[in-house]
Amino acid sequence: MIYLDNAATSHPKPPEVISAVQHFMVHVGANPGRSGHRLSAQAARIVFDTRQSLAELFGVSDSRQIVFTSNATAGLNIALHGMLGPRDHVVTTSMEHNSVMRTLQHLEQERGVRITVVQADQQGRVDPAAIREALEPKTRLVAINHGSNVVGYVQPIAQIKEAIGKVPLLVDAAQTAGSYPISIERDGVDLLAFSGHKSLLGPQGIGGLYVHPELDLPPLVRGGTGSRSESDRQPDFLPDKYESGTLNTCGIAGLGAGVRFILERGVTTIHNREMDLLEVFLEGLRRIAGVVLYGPSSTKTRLPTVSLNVEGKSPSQVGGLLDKRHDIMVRVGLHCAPNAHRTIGTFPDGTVRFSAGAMSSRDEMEQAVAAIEEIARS
Amino acid sequence: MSKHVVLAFDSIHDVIKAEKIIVRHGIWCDLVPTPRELSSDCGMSIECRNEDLPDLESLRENGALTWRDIYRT
Repeated sequence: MIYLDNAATSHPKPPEVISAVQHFMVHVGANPGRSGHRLSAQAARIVFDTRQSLAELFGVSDSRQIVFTSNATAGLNIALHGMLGPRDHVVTTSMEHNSVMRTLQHLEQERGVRITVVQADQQGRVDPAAIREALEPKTRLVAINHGSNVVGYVQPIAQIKEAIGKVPLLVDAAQTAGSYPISIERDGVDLLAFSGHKSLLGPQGIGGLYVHPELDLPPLVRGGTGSRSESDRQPDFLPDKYESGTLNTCGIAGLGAGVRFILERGVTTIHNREMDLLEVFLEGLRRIAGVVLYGPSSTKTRLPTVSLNVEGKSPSQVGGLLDKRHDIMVRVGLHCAPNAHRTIGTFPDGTVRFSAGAMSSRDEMEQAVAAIEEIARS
Repeated sequence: MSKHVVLAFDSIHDVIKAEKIIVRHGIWCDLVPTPRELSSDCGMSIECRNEDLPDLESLRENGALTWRDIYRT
């Protein structure tokens, strides 16, 4: 079996991740910091260590600014609901995932938020100058998809922040966290949502949000935090402000092991290896007649995510053949990003998406090329 | 004279961070449920020996360690 659906979730996970989850469930199991006993303390240490590792990976000096959520979508919801008040203006792009677009559409209806969508080119590239030109006096936020889950292009967030100046920048790093270098403080990122189960290699059900210390946005969910228990009011300090209710400590334990796996090897090393795999894949595909490739043709500033179509066949037909006949797992359709498909000209049918990951091999990429060649010829 | 001091913090994150710093400096400490007298803080606190208080204070003065409240048992 060849798994090339890492943009949906990474698989398989490193053995260290599985061990960390099992260790938590067998030997710790307690609620982090809620109760005064030693297992509770041990669970709290696991949460602390994972937060520290994430801060190291993302270039954040105080790990309290990183809060855990159930996934990147939940983090994006905290950021968008917290930042955008009545009639505020937001600038976003045509490459966004539904996690951003649906939330913005809701805020448009509920709060009269005004949305400007900056069009990307057909390769999925957004011009920082076009974002600057879209700014208005009431622009409260710029929300950018960092790495496209459709074509893999990575937007230049440092240049975008330079272009927009003091306007807060929200980065959707669901696809890039763990597979593309990110430096939150150096690049001037104000909010960054990440998924824990994609390139960070953790289990599903864990993600997070970085919040700049000078931003004061209300939480989306309020409740018990294990702190200030005598008070009816939500704590105003991080991370507790955004972490009501029991955390997914099991997921956080696995995520911690995933992040340490990445830190030990280096995110640049992992990225370069993935670009080598991408090169093998793209070179093989270019030789096949009847394959239409979308997105950037080079391996610069991008992820190992490739969208393609086979002439004369629908994406679902190709996906079905890959699964049933070739034992290759990919994702077909619109990938929860209809505007991105409109941008690259593949709406409403979508594409067949291949996404390699940290555990993918050269041999697997070659086998995938051979499978597509056979499907294109049949 | 009391034997122990209890350091209280805003959040469990701050407790674990302080614990790591105290242990790294070779000072004995133990995590304990927060005494009733300090109940306005996080559910766990750090107990230290009274004799180590000068060392803890100097860590606090140079900014390595911060706590919200202190209680003598």
